Amino acid sequence: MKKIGYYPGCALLSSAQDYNSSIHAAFERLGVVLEEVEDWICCGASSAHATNDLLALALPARTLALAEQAGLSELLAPCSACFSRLLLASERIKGDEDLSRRVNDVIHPLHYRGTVEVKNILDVLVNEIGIPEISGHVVRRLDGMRVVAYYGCWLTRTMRIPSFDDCEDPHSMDRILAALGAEPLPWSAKMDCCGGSLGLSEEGLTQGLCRNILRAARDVGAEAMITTCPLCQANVDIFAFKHKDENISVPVLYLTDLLGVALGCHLRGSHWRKKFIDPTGVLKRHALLS
Amino acid sequence: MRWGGRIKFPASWMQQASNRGWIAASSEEESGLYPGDEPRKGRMKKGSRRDEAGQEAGFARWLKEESGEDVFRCYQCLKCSTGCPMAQAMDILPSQVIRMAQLGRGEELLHSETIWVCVSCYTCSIRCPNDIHVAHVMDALRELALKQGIPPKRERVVLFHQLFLASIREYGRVYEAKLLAKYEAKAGGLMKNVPLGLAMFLKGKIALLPHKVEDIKGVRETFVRLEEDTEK
Repeated sequence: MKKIGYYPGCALLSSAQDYNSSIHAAFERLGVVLEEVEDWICCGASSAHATNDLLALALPARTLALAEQAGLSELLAPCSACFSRLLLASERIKGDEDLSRRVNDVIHPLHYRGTVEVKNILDVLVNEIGIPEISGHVVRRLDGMRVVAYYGCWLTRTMRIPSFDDCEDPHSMDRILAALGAEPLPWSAKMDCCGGSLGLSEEGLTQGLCRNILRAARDVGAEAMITTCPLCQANVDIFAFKHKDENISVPVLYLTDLLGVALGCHLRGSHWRKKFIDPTGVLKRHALLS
Repeated sequence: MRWGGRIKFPASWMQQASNRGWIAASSEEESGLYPGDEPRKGRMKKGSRRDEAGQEAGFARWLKEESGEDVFRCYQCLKCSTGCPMAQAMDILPSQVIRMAQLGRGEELLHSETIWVCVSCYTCSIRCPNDIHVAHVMDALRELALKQGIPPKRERVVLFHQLFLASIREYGRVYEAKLLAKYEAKAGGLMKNVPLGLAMFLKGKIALLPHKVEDIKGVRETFVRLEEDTEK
Protein backbone atom coordinates (compact mmCIF):
# COMPACT_ATOMS: atom_id res chain seq x y z
CA MET A 1 0.00 0.00 0.00
CA LYS A 2 1.32 3.37 -0.96
CA LYS A 3 1.89 5.95 1.76
CA ILE A 4 2.28 9.67 1.31
CA GLY A 5 2.67 12.62 3.70
CA TYR A 6 -0.38 14.83 3.95
CA TYR A 7 -0.63 18.54 4.68
CA PRO A 8 -4.31 19.55 4.64
CA GLY A 9 -3.78 23.25 5.37
CA CYS A 10 -6.17 25.58 7.20
CA ALA A 11 -8.87 25.83 4.55
CA LEU A 12 -9.45 22.08 4.56
CA LEU A 13 -10.32 22.25 8.26
CA SER A 14 -12.96 24.92 7.78
CA SER A 15 -14.29 26.36 4.53
CA ALA A 16 -13.16 23.36 2.48
CA GLN A 17 -13.94 20.52 4.89
CA ASP A 18 -15.76 18.82 2.03
CA TYR A 19 -12.54 18.81 -0.01
CA ASN A 20 -10.71 17.14 2.86
CA SER A 21 -13.37 14.46 3.24
CA SER A 22 -13.59 13.68 -0.47
CA ILE A 23 -9.79 13.45 -0.70
CA HIS A 24 -9.75 10.95 2.15
CA ALA A 25 -12.62 8.96 0.66
CA ALA A 26 -11.12 8.84 -2.84
CA PHE A 27 -7.57 8.03 -1.73
CA GLU A 28 -8.83 5.23 0.47
CA ARG A 29 -10.48 3.67 -2.58
CA LEU A 30 -7.23 4.07 -4.52
CA GLY A 31 -5.36 2.31 -1.74
CA VAL A 32 -3.20 5.28 -0.81
CA VAL A 33 -2.61 6.04 2.86
CA LEU A 34 -2.43 9.72 3.76
CA GLU A 35 -0.15 10.28 6.70
CA GLU A 36 -0.90 13.70 8.14
CA VAL A 37 2.07 15.70 9.41
CA GLU A 38 1.55 16.02 13.13
CA ASP A 39 1.17 19.52 14.48
CA TRP A 40 1.53 21.18 11.08
CA ILE A 41 1.04 24.94 11.02
CA CYS A 42 -0.39 27.40 8.49
CA CYS A 43 1.78 28.02 5.42
CA GLY A 44 1.32 31.79 5.82
CA ALA A 45 -0.37 32.04 2.43
CA SER A 46 -0.34 35.42 0.69
CA SER A 47 -0.27 37.32 3.97
CA ALA A 48 3.23 36.11 4.81
CA HIS A 49 4.93 36.53 1.45
CA ALA A 50 3.30 39.91 0.85
CA THR A 51 4.65 41.32 4.09
CA ASN A 52 7.79 39.49 5.18
CA ASP A 53 9.93 37.22 3.04
CA LEU A 54 11.64 35.47 5.93
CA LEU A 55 8.30 34.72 7.57
CA ALA A 56 7.07 33.31 4.25
CA LEU A 57 9.96 30.84 4.43
CA ALA A 58 9.92 30.15 8.17
CA LEU A 59 6.26 29.13 8.45
CA PRO A 60 6.45 26.45 5.72
CA ALA A 61 9.89 25.43 7.03
CA ARG A 62 8.42 24.54 10.43
CA THR A 63 5.95 22.14 8.84
CA LEU A 64 8.55 20.78 6.41
CA ALA A 65 10.91 20.15 9.33
CA LEU A 66 8.17 18.22 11.14
CA ALA A 67 7.49 16.17 8.01
CA GLU A 68 11.20 15.47 7.65
CA GLN A 69 11.39 14.40 11.30
CA ALA A 70 8.50 12.02 10.73
CA GLY A 71 10.43 10.44 7.87
CA LEU A 72 8.11 11.63 5.12
CA SER A 73 9.90 12.02 1.81
CA GLU A 74 6.83 13.24 -0.07
CA LEU A 75 4.25 15.72 1.11
CA LEU A 76 0.89 16.17 -0.58
CA ALA A 77 -0.56 19.67 -0.25
CA PRO A 78 -4.00 19.67 -1.91
CA CYS A 79 -4.52 23.45 -1.63
CA SER A 80 -2.76 25.30 -4.45
CA ALA A 81 -1.66 28.14 -2.19
CA CYS A 82 -0.19 25.76 0.40
CA PHE A 83 1.47 23.77 -2.36
CA SER A 84 3.06 26.84 -3.87
CA ARG A 85 4.24 28.25 -0.53
CA LEU A 86 5.68 24.92 0.69
CA LEU A 87 7.34 24.08 -2.61
CA LEU A 88 8.93 27.49 -3.17
CA ALA A 89 10.12 27.66 0.46
CA SER A 90 11.57 24.16 0.35
CA GLU A 91 13.44 24.77 -2.89
CA ARG A 92 14.79 28.16 -1.84
CA ILE A 93 16.02 26.81 1.49
CA LYS A 94 17.58 23.82 -0.23
CA GLY A 95 19.41 25.93 -2.79
CA ASP A 96 20.83 28.65 -0.55
CA GLU A 97 23.09 27.94 2.41
CA ASP A 98 22.89 31.43 3.90
CA LEU A 99 19.14 31.48 3.67
CA SER A 100 18.92 27.98 5.09
CA ARG A 101 20.95 29.09 8.11
CA ARG A 102 18.77 32.15 8.66
CA VAL A 103 15.52 30.19 8.38
CA ASN A 104 16.76 27.40 10.61
CA ASP A 105 17.86 29.94 13.24
CA VAL A 106 14.37 31.32 13.27
CA ILE A 107 12.60 27.95 13.55
CA HIS A 108 15.05 26.52 16.09
CA PRO A 109 14.90 23.92 17.73
CA LEU A 110 13.31 22.55 14.57
CA HIS A 111 15.63 22.09 11.63
CA TYR A 112 14.85 21.60 7.97
CA ARG A 113 17.48 19.94 5.80
CA GLY A 114 15.52 20.16 2.56
CA THR A 115 14.67 16.53 1.88
CA VAL A 116 10.90 16.74 1.53
CA GLU A 117 9.39 16.68 -1.94
CA VAL A 118 6.24 18.81 -2.07
CA LYS A 119 3.53 17.52 -4.39
CA ASN A 120 0.17 18.82 -5.51
CA ILE A 121 -2.83 16.58 -5.88
CA LEU A 122 -2.83 16.44 -9.70
CA ASP A 123 0.82 15.43 -9.74
CA VAL A 124 0.12 12.64 -7.25
CA LEU A 125 -2.95 11.42 -9.11
CA VAL A 126 -1.39 11.46 -12.58
CA ASN A 127 2.25 10.64 -11.91
CA GLU A 128 2.28 8.66 -8.67
CA ILE A 129 -0.96 6.73 -8.86
CA GLY A 130 -1.44 6.93 -12.62
CA ILE A 131 -4.42 7.23 -14.93
CA PRO A 132 -4.64 3.45 -15.64
CA GLU A 133 -4.83 2.73 -11.92
CA ILE A 134 -7.56 5.35 -11.48
CA SER A 135 -9.53 4.00 -14.47
CA GLY A 136 -9.24 0.52 -13.00
CA HIS A 137 -10.99 1.63 -9.83
CA VAL A 138 -13.89 3.45 -11.51
CA VAL A 139 -17.21 1.82 -10.62
CA ARG A 140 -19.58 4.54 -11.79
CA ARG A 141 -18.67 6.41 -14.95
CA LEU A 142 -19.53 10.07 -15.34
CA ASP A 143 -20.52 9.55 -18.96
CA GLY A 144 -21.71 12.60 -20.82
CA MET A 145 -20.99 15.07 -18.04
CA ARG A 146 -19.69 18.24 -19.64
CA VAL A 147 -17.15 19.86 -17.34
CA VAL A 148 -14.36 22.42 -17.42
CA ALA A 149 -11.13 21.82 -15.53
CA TYR A 150 -10.20 24.99 -13.64
CA TYR A 151 -6.53 24.87 -12.60
CA GLY A 152 -6.09 28.40 -11.26
CA CYS A 153 -2.78 30.10 -10.70
CA TRP A 154 -0.25 28.30 -8.62
CA LEU A 155 -0.41 24.64 -9.55
CA THR A 156 1.91 24.90 -12.51
CA ARG A 157 3.44 28.35 -11.94
CA THR A 158 6.29 26.93 -9.91
CA MET A 159 8.75 29.49 -11.25
CA ARG A 160 12.30 28.17 -11.50
CA ILE A 161 11.29 24.70 -10.41
CA PRO A 162 10.26 22.31 -13.19
CA SER A 163 6.49 21.95 -13.25
CA PHE A 164 4.70 18.58 -13.42
CA ASP A 165 2.50 19.90 -16.25
CA ASP A 166 2.60 22.61 -18.91
CA CYS A 167 2.72 25.96 -17.12
CA GLU A 168 0.41 27.76 -19.56
CA ASP A 169 -1.80 24.96 -20.83
CA PRO A 170 -1.98 22.08 -18.36
CA HIS A 171 -3.95 18.95 -19.17
CA SER A 172 -3.52 16.63 -16.21
CA MET A 173 -6.91 17.36 -14.68
CA ASP A 174 -8.62 17.03 -18.07
CA ARG A 175 -7.00 13.60 -18.44
CA ILE A 176 -8.24 12.47 -15.03
CA LEU A 177 -11.76 13.71 -15.77
CA ALA A 178 -11.73 11.92 -19.13
CA ALA A 179 -10.63 8.73 -17.39
CA LEU A 180 -13.70 9.02 -15.16
CA GLY A 181 -15.89 9.18 -18.27
CA ALA A 182 -16.66 12.90 -18.09
CA GLU A 183 -16.24 15.18 -21.05
CA PRO A 184 -13.64 17.87 -20.23
CA LEU A 185 -14.22 20.85 -22.51
CA PRO A 186 -11.50 23.06 -23.93
CA TRP A 187 -11.96 26.58 -22.56
CA SER A 188 -10.06 29.80 -22.21
CA ALA A 189 -10.03 30.45 -18.47
CA LYS A 190 -8.39 27.28 -17.12
CA MET A 191 -5.46 29.20 -15.65
CA ASP A 192 -7.17 32.51 -14.91
CA CYS A 193 -6.83 34.09 -11.50
CA CYS A 194 -9.84 34.09 -9.14
CA GLY A 195 -8.51 36.99 -7.07
CA GLY A 196 -6.99 34.90 -4.30
CA SER A 197 -6.93 36.49 -0.89
CA LEU A 198 -8.06 39.82 -2.36
CA GLY A 199 -11.47 38.18 -2.85
CA LEU A 200 -12.33 39.18 0.69
CA SER A 201 -10.44 42.41 1.24
CA GLU A 202 -10.92 44.02 -2.16
CA GLU A 203 -14.00 42.30 -3.50
CA GLY A 204 -14.67 45.10 -5.96
CA LEU A 205 -11.37 44.43 -7.72
CA THR A 206 -11.77 40.69 -8.07
CA GLN A 207 -15.42 40.43 -9.10
CA GLY A 208 -14.56 40.91 -12.75
CA LEU A 209 -12.14 38.00 -12.60
CA CYS A 210 -14.73 35.56 -11.23
CA ARG A 211 -17.32 36.85 -13.70
CA ASN A 212 -15.01 36.18 -16.65
CA ILE A 213 -14.23 32.69 -15.43
CA LEU A 214 -17.91 31.81 -15.04
CA ARG A 215 -18.77 33.34 -18.43
CA ALA A 216 -16.04 31.32 -20.11
CA ALA A 217 -17.45 28.16 -18.53
CA ARG A 218 -20.97 29.03 -19.62
CA ASP A 219 -19.85 29.87 -23.16
CA VAL A 220 -18.57 26.34 -23.74
CA GLY A 221 -21.68 24.82 -22.17
CA ALA A 222 -20.14 23.39 -19.02
CA GLU A 223 -22.45 21.77 -16.48
CA ALA A 224 -19.87 22.07 -13.72
CA MET A 225 -16.50 23.62 -13.03
CA ILE A 226 -13.91 21.35 -11.47
CA THR A 227 -11.04 22.63 -9.37
CA THR A 228 -8.42 21.44 -6.89
CA CYS A 229 -7.94 24.74 -5.06
CA PRO A 230 -10.10 25.74 -2.07
CA LEU A 231 -9.47 29.42 -2.73
CA CYS A 232 -10.64 29.15 -6.36
CA GLN A 233 -13.66 27.13 -5.28
CA ALA A 234 -14.65 29.64 -2.61
CA ASN A 235 -14.12 32.76 -4.70
CA VAL A 236 -15.96 31.53 -7.80
CA ASP A 237 -18.72 29.72 -5.89
CA ILE A 238 -19.41 32.71 -3.63
CA PHE A 239 -19.37 35.13 -6.56
CA ALA A 240 -21.85 32.93 -8.44
CA PHE A 241 -24.03 32.77 -5.34
CA LYS A 242 -24.02 36.54 -4.86
CA HIS A 243 -24.73 37.18 -8.54
CA LYS A 244 -27.32 34.54 -9.29
CA ASP A 245 -29.29 37.09 -11.29
CA GLU A 246 -26.54 37.21 -13.92
CA ASN A 247 -27.39 33.68 -15.04
CA ILE A 248 -23.82 32.54 -15.26
CA SER A 249 -23.76 30.22 -12.25
CA VAL A 250 -22.41 26.73 -12.54
CA PRO A 251 -21.65 24.44 -9.61
CA VAL A 252 -17.97 24.48 -8.64
CA LEU A 253 -16.83 21.05 -7.47
CA TYR A 254 -13.55 19.65 -6.25
CA LEU A 255 -11.93 17.10 -8.51
CA THR A 256 -12.01 14.64 -5.63
CA ASP A 257 -15.80 15.11 -5.30
CA LEU A 258 -16.24 13.64 -8.78
CA LEU A 259 -13.40 11.19 -8.30
CA GLY A 260 -15.12 10.00 -5.14
CA VAL A 261 -18.42 9.56 -6.95
CA ALA A 262 -16.75 7.65 -9.78
CA LEU A 263 -14.88 5.40 -7.36
CA GLY A 264 -18.11 4.58 -5.51
CA CYS A 265 -17.53 6.58 -2.31
CA HIS A 266 -20.63 7.47 -0.35
CA LEU A 267 -20.72 11.22 -0.24
CA ARG A 268 -23.83 12.24 1.64
CA GLY A 269 -26.27 15.06 0.97
CA SER A 270 -24.53 17.18 3.59
CA HIS A 271 -21.38 16.97 1.48
CA TRP A 272 -23.03 18.60 -1.51
CA ARG A 273 -24.79 21.20 0.62
CA LYS A 274 -21.40 22.74 1.43
CA LYS A 275 -21.39 24.29 -2.02
CA PHE A 276 -23.19 27.59 -2.50
CA ILE A 277 -24.33 26.68 -6.01
CA ASP A 278 -26.18 23.40 -5.58
CA PRO A 279 -24.53 20.64 -7.63
CA THR A 280 -27.18 17.98 -6.94
CA GLY A 281 -29.17 18.89 -10.07
CA VAL A 282 -26.23 18.07 -12.33
CA LEU A 283 -25.43 14.90 -10.40
CA LYS A 284 -29.06 13.74 -10.58
CA ARG A 285 -29.21 14.43 -14.30
CA HIS A 286 -26.39 11.95 -14.76
CA ALA A 287 -27.80 9.51 -12.19
CA LEU A 288 -24.80 9.97 -9.92
CA LEU A 289 -26.52 10.59 -6.60
CA SER A 290 -26.64 7.55 -4.39
CA MET B 1 12.02 62.72 -8.03
CA ARG B 2 14.97 60.68 -6.98
CA TRP B 3 15.09 57.81 -4.57
CA GLY B 4 17.88 59.11 -2.44
CA GLY B 5 17.39 61.41 0.48
CA ARG B 6 13.70 61.15 1.22
CA ILE B 7 13.52 57.66 2.60
CA LYS B 8 15.57 56.61 5.55
CA PHE B 9 16.83 53.07 5.49
CA PRO B 10 17.11 51.03 8.69
CA ALA B 11 20.51 51.30 10.31
CA SER B 12 21.03 47.57 9.81
CA TRP B 13 20.85 47.92 6.04
CA MET B 14 23.12 50.91 5.97
CA GLN B 15 25.58 48.90 8.04
CA GLN B 16 25.29 45.98 5.66
CA ALA B 17 25.86 48.26 2.71
CA SER B 18 28.94 49.77 4.25
CA ASN B 19 30.26 46.30 5.13
CA ARG B 20 30.00 45.44 1.48
CA GLY B 21 31.85 48.57 0.54
CA TRP B 22 28.94 50.14 -1.30
CA ILE B 23 28.95 53.20 0.89
CA ALA B 24 31.51 54.71 3.16
CA ALA B 25 30.71 53.97 6.80
CA SER B 26 28.49 56.64 8.39
CA SER B 27 28.15 58.55 5.13
CA GLU B 28 24.40 58.10 5.43
CA GLU B 29 23.60 61.54 6.79
CA GLU B 30 25.66 63.61 4.39
CA SER B 31 24.85 61.77 1.20
CA GLY B 32 21.33 60.59 2.01
CA LEU B 33 22.07 57.54 -0.10
CA TYR B 34 20.53 54.13 0.18
CA PRO B 35 22.50 50.91 0.58
CA GLY B 36 23.22 50.31 -3.08
CA ASP B 37 24.87 53.61 -3.83
CA GLU B 38 28.42 53.61 -5.07
CA PRO B 39 30.65 55.96 -3.12
CA ARG B 40 32.58 57.14 -6.21
CA LYS B 41 34.50 59.42 -3.91
CA GLY B 42 37.07 61.66 -5.46
CA ARG B 43 36.36 60.45 -8.95
CA MET B 44 33.32 62.45 -9.62
CA LYS B 45 31.69 65.66 -8.61
CA LYS B 46 28.56 65.28 -6.58
CA GLY B 47 25.49 65.92 -8.68
CA SER B 48 27.11 65.07 -11.98
CA ARG B 49 25.13 62.92 -14.38
CA ARG B 50 27.14 59.81 -13.79
CA ASP B 51 26.82 60.29 -10.08
CA GLU B 52 23.05 60.39 -10.45
CA ALA B 53 23.06 57.28 -12.58
CA GLY B 54 25.05 55.54 -9.87
CA GLN B 55 22.49 56.45 -7.26
CA GLU B 56 19.64 55.27 -9.42
CA ALA B 57 21.27 51.93 -10.04
CA GLY B 58 21.54 51.54 -6.29
CA PHE B 59 17.82 51.02 -5.85
CA ALA B 60 17.87 48.24 -8.40
CA ARG B 61 20.89 46.79 -6.66
CA TRP B 62 19.06 46.90 -3.36
CA LEU B 63 16.13 45.09 -5.00
CA LYS B 64 18.50 42.44 -6.22
CA GLU B 65 19.87 41.98 -2.72
CA GLU B 66 16.41 41.72 -1.18
CA SER B 67 14.58 39.71 -3.80
CA GLY B 68 17.30 38.15 -5.93
CA GLU B 69 15.72 39.70 -9.03
CA ASP B 70 17.79 41.66 -11.53
CA VAL B 71 15.51 44.31 -13.01
CA PHE B 72 18.17 45.36 -15.50
CA ARG B 73 17.42 42.25 -17.53
CA CYS B 74 14.10 43.79 -18.59
CA TYR B 75 13.83 45.03 -22.19
CA GLN B 76 10.19 46.18 -21.93
CA CYS B 77 8.41 43.53 -23.97
CA LEU B 78 5.33 44.32 -21.82
CA LYS B 79 4.24 40.70 -21.52
CA CYS B 80 3.86 41.11 -17.76
CA SER B 81 1.49 44.05 -18.13
CA THR B 82 -0.59 42.58 -20.94
CA GLY B 83 -1.14 39.33 -19.05
CA CYS B 84 -1.82 40.90 -15.67
CA PRO B 85 -5.38 40.21 -14.45
CA MET B 86 -5.26 43.23 -12.13
CA ALA B 87 -3.75 45.70 -14.61
CA GLN B 88 -6.95 47.75 -14.88
CA ALA B 89 -6.82 48.54 -11.17
CA MET B 90 -3.14 49.47 -11.12
CA ASP B 91 -1.73 52.99 -11.18
CA ILE B 92 1.66 51.71 -12.37
CA LEU B 93 1.75 48.69 -14.68
CA PRO B 94 4.10 45.79 -13.87
CA SER B 95 6.39 46.63 -16.79
CA GLN B 96 6.48 50.23 -15.58
CA VAL B 97 7.32 49.06 -12.06
CA ILE B 98 10.39 47.33 -13.43
CA ARG B 99 11.37 50.34 -15.55
CA MET B 100 10.94 52.72 -12.62
CA ALA B 101 13.01 50.41 -10.44
CA GLN B 102 15.78 50.65 -13.04
CA LEU B 103 15.51 54.42 -12.88
CA GLY B 104 15.63 54.48 -9.09
CA ARG B 105 12.10 55.83 -8.70
CA GLY B 106 11.53 53.62 -5.68
CA GLU B 107 9.64 56.17 -3.67
CA GLU B 108 6.82 56.32 -6.22
CA LEU B 109 6.67 52.54 -6.26
CA LEU B 110 6.39 52.30 -2.48
CA HIS B 111 3.51 54.77 -2.52
CA SER B 112 1.76 53.10 -5.43
CA GLU B 113 -1.55 51.30 -5.49
CA THR B 114 -0.04 48.62 -7.65
CA ILE B 115 1.93 46.93 -4.91
CA TRP B 116 -1.27 46.29 -2.91
CA VAL B 117 -3.44 45.45 -5.90
CA CYS B 118 -1.11 42.73 -7.21
CA VAL B 119 -2.64 39.33 -6.33
CA SER B 120 0.59 37.34 -6.77
CA CYS B 121 -0.91 35.10 -9.44
CA TYR B 122 2.60 34.76 -10.97
CA THR B 123 1.36 35.18 -14.56
CA CYS B 124 3.90 37.97 -15.12
CA SER B 125 6.72 35.97 -13.60
CA ILE B 126 6.10 32.82 -15.57
CA ARG B 127 5.92 34.73 -18.87
CA CYS B 128 8.95 36.97 -18.45
CA PRO B 129 11.39 36.14 -21.25
CA ASN B 130 14.21 37.46 -19.08
CA ASP B 131 13.37 35.37 -16.06
CA ILE B 132 12.49 38.24 -13.77
CA HIS B 133 10.15 37.06 -11.00
CA VAL B 134 8.08 40.24 -11.19
CA ALA B 135 5.66 39.09 -8.48
CA HIS B 136 8.58 38.60 -6.13
CA VAL B 137 9.75 42.14 -6.85
CA MET B 138 6.27 43.25 -5.74
CA ASP B 139 6.74 41.29 -2.50
CA ALA B 140 10.03 43.07 -1.83
CA LEU B 141 8.41 46.46 -2.50
CA ARG B 142 5.50 45.70 -0.19
CA GLU B 143 7.83 44.58 2.56
CA LEU B 144 9.91 47.74 2.24
CA ALA B 145 6.81 49.96 2.14
CA LEU B 146 5.59 48.40 5.40
CA LYS B 147 9.00 48.71 7.03
CA GLN B 148 9.13 52.36 6.03
CA GLY B 149 5.70 52.88 7.55
CA ILE B 150 4.29 54.20 4.29
CA PRO B 151 0.48 54.23 4.53
CA PRO B 152 -0.79 51.62 2.06
CA LYS B 153 -3.13 52.79 -0.70
CA ARG B 154 -5.29 49.75 -0.03
CA GLU B 155 -5.57 49.67 3.72
CA ARG B 156 -7.95 46.75 3.91
CA VAL B 157 -5.49 44.48 2.13
CA VAL B 158 -2.88 45.17 4.77
CA LEU B 159 -5.44 44.87 7.56
CA PHE B 160 -6.38 41.43 6.26
CA HIS B 161 -2.73 40.33 6.12
CA GLN B 162 -2.11 41.58 9.65
CA LEU B 163 -5.13 39.80 11.10
CA PHE B 164 -4.28 36.64 9.16
CA LEU B 165 -0.74 36.57 10.56
CA ALA B 166 -1.98 37.43 14.06
CA SER B 167 -4.21 34.38 13.84
CA ILE B 168 -1.25 32.15 12.96
CA ARG B 169 0.72 33.62 15.83
CA GLU B 170 -2.11 32.95 18.25
CA TYR B 171 -3.15 29.46 17.14
CA GLY B 172 -0.57 28.18 14.66
CA ARG B 173 -3.38 27.84 12.15
CA VAL B 174 -5.86 30.34 10.82
CA TYR B 175 -8.99 30.62 12.92
CA GLU B 176 -11.34 31.85 10.23
CA ALA B 177 -14.33 32.69 12.44
CA LYS B 178 -12.35 35.15 14.54
CA LEU B 179 -10.38 36.45 11.56
CA LEU B 180 -13.53 37.24 9.62
CA ALA B 181 -15.30 38.77 12.63
CA LYS B 182 -12.32 40.99 13.46
CA TYR B 183 -11.86 41.94 9.83
CA GLU B 184 -15.50 42.94 9.47
CA ALA B 185 -15.36 44.98 12.65
CA LYS B 186 -12.22 46.86 11.62
CA ALA B 187 -12.55 47.16 7.85
CA GLY B 188 -15.42 49.63 8.08
CA GLY B 189 -17.30 47.93 5.26
CA LEU B 190 -20.65 48.39 7.06
CA MET B 191 -20.66 44.69 7.83
CA LYS B 192 -21.57 43.88 4.25
CA ASN B 193 -19.97 40.45 4.52
CA VAL B 194 -22.07 39.47 7.51
CA PRO B 195 -24.83 37.74 5.50
CA LEU B 196 -22.16 35.75 3.65
CA GLY B 197 -20.43 34.82 6.90
CA LEU B 198 -23.74 33.68 8.31
CA ALA B 199 -24.48 31.61 5.20
CA MET B 200 -21.02 30.02 5.43
CA PHE B 201 -21.60 29.31 9.10
CA LEU B 202 -24.96 27.66 8.39
CA LYS B 203 -23.34 25.50 5.73
CA GLY B 204 -20.77 24.38 8.27
CA LYS B 205 -18.00 26.04 6.28
CA ILE B 206 -16.63 27.94 9.25
CA ALA B 207 -15.24 25.96 12.15
CA LEU B 208 -16.61 27.18 15.47
CA LEU B 209 -13.51 26.53 17.49
CA PRO B 210 -9.87 27.25 16.66
CA HIS B 211 -7.49 24.43 15.78
CA LYS B 212 -4.66 25.36 18.08
CA VAL B 213 -1.43 23.47 17.50
CA GLU B 214 0.37 21.63 20.31
CA ASP B 215 3.63 23.48 19.95
CA ILE B 216 2.16 26.96 19.93
CA LYS B 217 5.06 28.11 22.10
CA GLY B 218 7.46 27.14 19.33
CA VAL B 219 5.38 28.98 16.73
CA ARG B 220 5.40 32.15 18.82
CA GLU B 221 9.14 31.85 19.40
CA THR B 222 9.59 31.72 15.63
CA PHE B 223 7.68 34.99 15.33
CA VAL B 224 9.76 36.61 18.08
CA ARG B 225 13.07 35.45 16.56
CA LEU B 226 11.91 36.70 13.23
CA GLU B 227 11.35 40.15 14.64
CA GLU B 228 14.83 40.03 16.13
CA ASP B 229 16.28 38.98 12.78
CA THR B 230 14.49 41.83 11.04
CA GLU B 231 15.79 44.37 13.54
CA LYS B 232 19.34 43.06 13.29
